[in-house]
Amino acid sequence: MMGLVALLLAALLGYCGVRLGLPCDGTRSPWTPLLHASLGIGLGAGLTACLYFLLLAGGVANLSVIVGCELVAQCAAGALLLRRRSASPPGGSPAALLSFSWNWLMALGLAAMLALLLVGFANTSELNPQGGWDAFAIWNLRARFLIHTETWNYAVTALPVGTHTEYPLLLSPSLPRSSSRWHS
Amino acid sequence: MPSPKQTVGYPFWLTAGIGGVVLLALFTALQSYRSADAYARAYQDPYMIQAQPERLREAVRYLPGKAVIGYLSDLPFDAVPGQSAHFGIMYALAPRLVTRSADSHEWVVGNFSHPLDYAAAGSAHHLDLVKDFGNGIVLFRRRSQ
Repeated sequence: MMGLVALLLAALLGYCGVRLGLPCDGTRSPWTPLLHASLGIGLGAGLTACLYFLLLAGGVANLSVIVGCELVAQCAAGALLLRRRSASPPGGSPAALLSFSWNWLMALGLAAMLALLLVGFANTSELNPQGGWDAFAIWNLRARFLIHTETWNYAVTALPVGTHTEYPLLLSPSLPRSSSRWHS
Repeated sequence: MPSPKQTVGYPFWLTAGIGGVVLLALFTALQSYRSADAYARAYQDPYMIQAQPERLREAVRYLPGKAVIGYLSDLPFDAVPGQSAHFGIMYALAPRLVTRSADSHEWVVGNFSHPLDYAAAGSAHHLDLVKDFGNGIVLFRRRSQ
């Protein structure tokens, strides 16, 4: 549950970031929010992972500080978005939307692929909860090092041989960020 | 005011081509799902990673929470069994860091594939045997100078 809330917070922040970063034109398709949301999940996970890592390295990564910083960032992004919305000119005539008559087929294909992805991910995770070699030897292992202020440096030093610490951290900080340890 | 919607007509060959690409992509996704599922069913936890926390359950109580810990094993690191055994222990003991050396840390975890004289194995690295937890897990501590 905690992980889901953390993911939603990250996705919301990322969504606002995408909306702020992309130019707004008058020809918004009904699919635009979906595109923004899918981009926003990645952007939000990356932003919150960076924030978590900075707080951890600074020795202040506890639940209240993490949530506080994320909420401040969320409020700031939301306020900027509202400001830009109210500042945009009201009008003129919106440009005509061009629609491909077979868009329904694309939507069906997308839905089928998403369903396959979700079912496949759930099955594989259930059968192999610890993941494959790279999961336990690299990414999840480094995520475990990133749980504590005193051990985060293990994830970025050459000492754990074979764990490819030369790789970027990528999403490893996202895992301890949404970890159940913050319940305590 | 909502934008006026115009439907664009494309030639049949283009529509059919796009439809073909969509079907091929769906077929590939289905094949990918099937092969990933078959692989996951055939190789469930092949490196026994899931079993390591239970093997180490008792030993963990003796180890400091965030320390760097040594490692001693009869399995060489240059082969997959030795590497996977080491990663399994490292993963289960994280956020402690388990190095590959038995010679430089106060606490050393022994992970052995078969019974042997553990005290003698530790002694070769100036280690005292603290406890044999069974199932190949042994805890050593560096001799005070």
